Amino acid sequence: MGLFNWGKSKEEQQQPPAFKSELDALENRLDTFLAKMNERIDILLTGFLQEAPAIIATDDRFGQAYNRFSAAMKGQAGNMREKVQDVSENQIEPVYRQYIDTVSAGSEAYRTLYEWRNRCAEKVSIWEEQLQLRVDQATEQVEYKDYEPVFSEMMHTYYEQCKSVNCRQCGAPLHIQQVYYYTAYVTCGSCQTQNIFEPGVIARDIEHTARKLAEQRSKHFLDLSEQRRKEENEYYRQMHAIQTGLTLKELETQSGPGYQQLLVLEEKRLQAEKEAPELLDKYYRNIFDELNKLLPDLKEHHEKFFVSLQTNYQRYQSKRSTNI
Amino acid sequence: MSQNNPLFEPIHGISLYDYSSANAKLANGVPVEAICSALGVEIPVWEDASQGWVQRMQEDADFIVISEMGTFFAQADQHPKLGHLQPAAGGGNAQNLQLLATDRYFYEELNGARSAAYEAGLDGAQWIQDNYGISLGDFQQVAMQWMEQQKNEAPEEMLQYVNHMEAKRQEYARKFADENGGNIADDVDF
Repeated sequence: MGLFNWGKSKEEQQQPPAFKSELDALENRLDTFLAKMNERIDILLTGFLQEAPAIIATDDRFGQAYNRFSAAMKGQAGNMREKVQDVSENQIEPVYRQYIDTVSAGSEAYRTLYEWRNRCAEKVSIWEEQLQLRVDQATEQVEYKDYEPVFSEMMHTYYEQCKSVNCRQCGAPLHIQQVYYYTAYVTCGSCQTQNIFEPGVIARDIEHTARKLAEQRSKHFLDLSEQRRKEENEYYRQMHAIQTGLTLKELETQSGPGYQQLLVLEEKRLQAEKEAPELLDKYYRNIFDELNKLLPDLKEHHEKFFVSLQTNYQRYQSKRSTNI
Repeated sequence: MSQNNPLFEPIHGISLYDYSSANAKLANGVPVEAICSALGVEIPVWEDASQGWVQRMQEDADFIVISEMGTFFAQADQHPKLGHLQPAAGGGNAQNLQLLATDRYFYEELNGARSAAYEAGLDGAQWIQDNYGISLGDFQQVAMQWMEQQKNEAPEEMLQYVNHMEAKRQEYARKFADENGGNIADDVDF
């Protein structure tokens, strides 16, 4: 101990700290613990993937049984996350805090302790990311539905049902030629009586299903946008790593191989930063173009909805400042 | 705010206050026929207006319609035409409802319990109905009242309530887990 290792020999400074074995043991326990938690994730998600299709197949139109089932799976995942966080906060961090004030900054012991803490935090962080990724993937796999045939079938059934709707006054067919999404007045072409037409459950779900289909048809733009956003982040991370290794001269003169590498990355980063929101815009525009094709009678509303949505997502778009 | 804004123009004579109050009543189990009768419209008019208000909310980039709807939702019982409507099954547990509206800690406890119930695979809203006799509609109405009050709360006070809710969520999560034979990783030790 001591300020800047004052009074300590070089040999003393290079000695492995007394707490090294304790740190190693704790890290091993963390590895074992996370491996055991991974086994439980396997069990949880295997069960979820096996049981979900049968629940979905017999569910009501709002999917309430599946929603409860899915919430329970996510609840268990959340419980595991809390348990891992508890270990991080109450088993790892206190040991770091216990020793950090006993070693001098810059010493071998300080570095050992600091790296140990970062390594453990990184392991927990990666575990959490993997958990989230696996939960998302399982959910996406279970919830995936090809909306093309679903929508076609709905429209077909709706118009088939409409063929048998007759005027309550004269009994003539009402010849319904448009989609009524909810209860509406329909005038009889024969006797001009105003009928109250209740289009049923299928019609009430048409707009929602059309939206799902439009989103499915547009998803490739969203995936590309997300990909570009990740690339931008990765270029930024690489730039940061290079920047920390630049010499003062390279920074001052803005030259040298490191700096040149930085410029190349910055150009790529800027391109990705520009394209990500453009692709997101294409995604939403495409959704509404598809919706206009699927439900042309709602075009005016779709356009206003798009403008509202666009105003909102553009409001939260921002650009980095890298000062290169 | 809503004056002179075309987004707040009544649709077929149905104002946002009518629409919001009607939805609060519908959520409590009042049948749509009773709503229409009280408003003096037929179902097609109500449904068209209803759809119109949904579209207005989707077209409103600043969320002022939905925000105003929340305020009106909490005032459903004061609505001149709809306020008196009650579901056939009755108004639920009035004592608990009163407690929910006056005791913030009780409100936060039930919020925590509801989240824990959903995480345990239960229907959280139904759990509150079964255990406290408070319907989803009534709960949401009271929630809107508290949300209005939250706008004037100091951050420390807000944090105090959030912490209480989280503590209760964990407490109920443990209770539900025990009732279901435990959590999947309960026996995994560090």
